[in-house]
Formats: sequence, C-alpha cells, structure tokens
Amino acid sequence: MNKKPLVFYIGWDVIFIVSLKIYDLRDIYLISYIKENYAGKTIYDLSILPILHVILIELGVLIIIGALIALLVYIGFQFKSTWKSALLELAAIGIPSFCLATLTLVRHLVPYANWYSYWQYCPKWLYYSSSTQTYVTIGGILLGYELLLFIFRIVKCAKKADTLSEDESLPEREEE
Amino acid sequence: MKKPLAFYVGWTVTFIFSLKLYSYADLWLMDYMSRNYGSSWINSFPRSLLEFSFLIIIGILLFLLVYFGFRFEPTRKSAMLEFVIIGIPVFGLALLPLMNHLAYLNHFHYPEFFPTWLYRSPFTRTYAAIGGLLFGYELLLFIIRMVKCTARVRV
Repeated sequence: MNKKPLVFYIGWDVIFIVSLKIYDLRDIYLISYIKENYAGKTIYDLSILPILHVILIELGVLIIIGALIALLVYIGFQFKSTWKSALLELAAIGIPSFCLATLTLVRHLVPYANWYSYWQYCPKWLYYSSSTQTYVTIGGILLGYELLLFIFRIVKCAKKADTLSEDESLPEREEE
Repeated sequence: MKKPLAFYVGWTVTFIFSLKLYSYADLWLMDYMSRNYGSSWINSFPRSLLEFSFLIIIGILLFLLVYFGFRFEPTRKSAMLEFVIIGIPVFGLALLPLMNHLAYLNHFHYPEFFPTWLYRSPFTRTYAAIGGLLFGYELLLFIIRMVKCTARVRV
C-alpha cells in the first residue's frame, strides 16, 4: 500500500481538527471582548464592528474548512482507487466525521443507554460549546460525502475485478 | 455548454428544495412530538435523527456535485458557470447570521430579497454552516480550475 494517501489523510485530519478548534476559540474571544469593552450595555449599544468581526472570523473559518474539503476531493481523486484506499479514506475521514455528526444524538442517549464511558473520551470543547451545532453540520456533510464515495469506489473496484476475471477465463475457454 | 448549465441549475434547485423540505419536516415533527409525547427526551431525539439524515443528504448532494462536476470539460466558462450558479446562492446562505445581526440592530427590518423561511428559521446556524462550507469548496475549486486553464493556454 502506498504511503502517500495515508500521510495525506492523517495530515488532513490534523488540519481539520485544528481549524475546528480555531472556530471554537472565536466564542471565547467574543465573550472576553464584550466583557472588556461593553460590560453592562445592551445589544443596541454595541457597535457593529465587534459583531462584524466575529461573524467574519466565523465565515472565514467555515470557508477554510470548505476549502479543505475541496483539497480532499481534488487530491483524493488523484490516488489510485483500490479497496484498501477506499477503506483507508472511510476510516481516516469517515470515522471522525461520524463522531462529529452524532454529537447531539449521543447527548440524548447518554443518560438512557448508560454511555457515560463513551462520553468521557469526547473532548469537552466539542460538546459543551455553543458551536456544537456547526460541528454536527460539518460532520454530517462530510459523512454523507464519504459514505457515497466509499460505495462508489467499492462498486467500481468490484466491476474492475469482474472484468479482469472474465479476461482471465477467456483463454481457458479457447483452449477447451 | 447546455449540459453543465442544466446540471448546476438542477443541483441548486434540489439543494434549496431539500433545505425547505427539512425546515417543514422539522416543524411538523416538533408539533407531532409535543402533542403526543410532551416535553421529554423522546421529543428531541427524533429531531436530532432527522437533522442527521438531512445532513447526510446534503453530503450526498455534495458528492453528486463533485462526481458530475469533474466529468464536464474543465474550461473557464464552465468554472465561471459553476461558481456563479452554485457559489453565489451558498454565499447568501453563509451571510445569514450577518443579515440577522444587521436586521436586529435595524429594529427587525430584514432585507426583502431573503425568503422569510430562511432567516426566521431555527436552523439559521446550520444553513450558514452549510453555505460557508460549500462556498469555501466552490471558491478553491474555482481558483484551481482558473489556474489550470491559464497554464493550459500558456502551453
């Protein structure tokens, strides 16, 4: 198995998680900024600037994550598609995105299904944050994309294998 | 050029339709659950499940966009077409929180060109995240395609 895809997918995961963390930090930045500069004032006293500032940071990070997805698509399609590479991509990108997408679902199940042991491994900044909804959205979209890509690749590999086996059986028939 | 145009317009229509469908489905589910089960965990769990399914559908739409988008001949025109037909509506979605804040400061005077079901929905944040992600994807793809086309022209 080629090492390039493995390194790429792991690198992608790391950059993805870092950008999610940056997205989370913007909340802490907003709270401290408003506490310092606008303590005791209503929303109408706030100038448009801090709000614009925070929304632009939010939009900027989302656009960066979208660009990361474009990079994943563009470079991922250049790797040779085999069963192994399809499984690798599903494991490296699909599993983390599944965890992100099910953050709110698991939150509902924790008290009823006794899933506290699972829950304690989840970083607090992911599920205690006001950005949890955005993480779920990003995870869900990525999971849907990866699932369909995996099915598509597996079907393609199976078809290729069928064509090869037919080609191999042809000379035998001729010999008969 | 007609095929890409038809595909991108069709994709955008399906995308907006699925946003609207989700919005209605969630309202219906919320109403049904609160009438039959009251406010318990069971009330919000199916809604989370619906949201999960909706996001998977958006992911599937993204895959279709990628798969068919890469099949068209990469020219400057097709890149521009994709960016305009898909990029601009999703950028509008990404700007939803900004619109809400501006309207809030302007005593709830919302811009008239935005449909009410978009900015008064409880899913503004989800829509904005979807819009931001798709816009980022379209922007980088547009840049890559333009650079590629320019390099090809030079050769």
